[in-house]
Amino acid sequence: MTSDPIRLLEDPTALAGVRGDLAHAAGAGLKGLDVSAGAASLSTALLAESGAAGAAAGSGVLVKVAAVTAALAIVGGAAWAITRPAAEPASVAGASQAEPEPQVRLEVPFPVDAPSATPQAPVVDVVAAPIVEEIEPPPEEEAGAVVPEVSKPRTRKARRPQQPAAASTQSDADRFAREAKLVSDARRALGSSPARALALTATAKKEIPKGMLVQEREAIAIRALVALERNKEASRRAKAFLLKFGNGPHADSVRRATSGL
Amino acid sequence: MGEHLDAEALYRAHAEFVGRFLLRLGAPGDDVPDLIQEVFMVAHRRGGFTVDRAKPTTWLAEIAFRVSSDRRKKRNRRREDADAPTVELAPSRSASMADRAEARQALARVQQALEQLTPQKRAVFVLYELEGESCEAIARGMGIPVGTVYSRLHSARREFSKAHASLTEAADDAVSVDSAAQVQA
Repeated sequence: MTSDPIRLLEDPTALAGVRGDLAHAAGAGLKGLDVSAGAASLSTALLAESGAAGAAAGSGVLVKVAAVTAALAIVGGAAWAITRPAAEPASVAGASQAEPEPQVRLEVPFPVDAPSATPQAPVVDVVAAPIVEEIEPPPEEEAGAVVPEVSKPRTRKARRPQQPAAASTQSDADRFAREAKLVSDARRALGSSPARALALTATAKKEIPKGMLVQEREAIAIRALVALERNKEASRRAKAFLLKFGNGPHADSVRRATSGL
Repeated sequence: MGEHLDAEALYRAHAEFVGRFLLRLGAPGDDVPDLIQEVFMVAHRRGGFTVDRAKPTTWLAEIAFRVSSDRRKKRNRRREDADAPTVELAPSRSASMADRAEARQALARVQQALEQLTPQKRAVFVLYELEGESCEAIARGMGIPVGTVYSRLHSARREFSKAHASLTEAADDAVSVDSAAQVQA
């Protein structure tokens, strides 16, 4: 087997000028790349892609993840949520390889509004939480009083209306896929058509006012306003944005975009 | 089976490497953030990276090479995000202020010399000489025989050195002309 040649950098027979220049080049860093913002954008784009694929297939990744986990949360409550088979729905999320763990991690960063959240926190909790809030019916507790305490959990499970829960979960996942798509499209339109980008963010805001991608949506809207020279509006919204998300992954891009206004 | 890394984890760990590699392949700085994104999208579509296959860097380099070549072919397509920040190579932070100007010139010379190489040779040269990858890792990552790596590297080194020498000569000549003009003045 042939061994690797001496690198030019370390080769005493190479010209000193070449070695010196290569040493500078090898030690150079990258300036201007915001890794946090880039990672957030990547998550959005991946989710948009997953959402689109899910919509096309009629049962997308998000829908499956959300449906299974929300059903668990609703049926079993907190105890069930702890023992939920997180890897099971996540493995479905794989694009082309069935690797359970990374697929869970892939979903993690999608709440762009909470970049500091524990990276290991599975997405399923985020998806399931609002559904539990919406669906949890108070009468169950009253019904429980009639039933002997030992049989209470079984009675609760039997009485849960499974159908509406699944339907609601589905619509929640769809809503998120829709938001991811709108935000991703807006980001892509920013360079060629800021007016369209702005319109897409407005649509996202209208359709999903309290979505998972509020930060990115608003950052895009501000940059679109700057591009459209609607400086006053851009400044006003940037100020509000930075007040709320000053340490977020999109804060720098908003600062950069509005610094000259 | 080795550890598996998804696109998100790969991005956090290797976005800077990919950015540097793309710049050295000749991608415009303002195009690089978008290209990096594309590289990791492709990584995701390929199912992420499993450690026992190759090194993540050379595996990503192969994707970056393809993405960059593809973008070169569509060079007149419209930019998607005109407000995207420009990314550039910068001298090491540890360099003193006095050394920075010199370092910048060195970076520019290296970049100009790299431009004389074909993309294939350039990729191998950059990975081996600047990123410190082994020929074996480059071969595995790029999906080419190791003999091809050696041959591309050999030829790339010769061409790079030649181009670099001409650039240095040209710079020396320019300095001489300036000095002569100052003496005459």
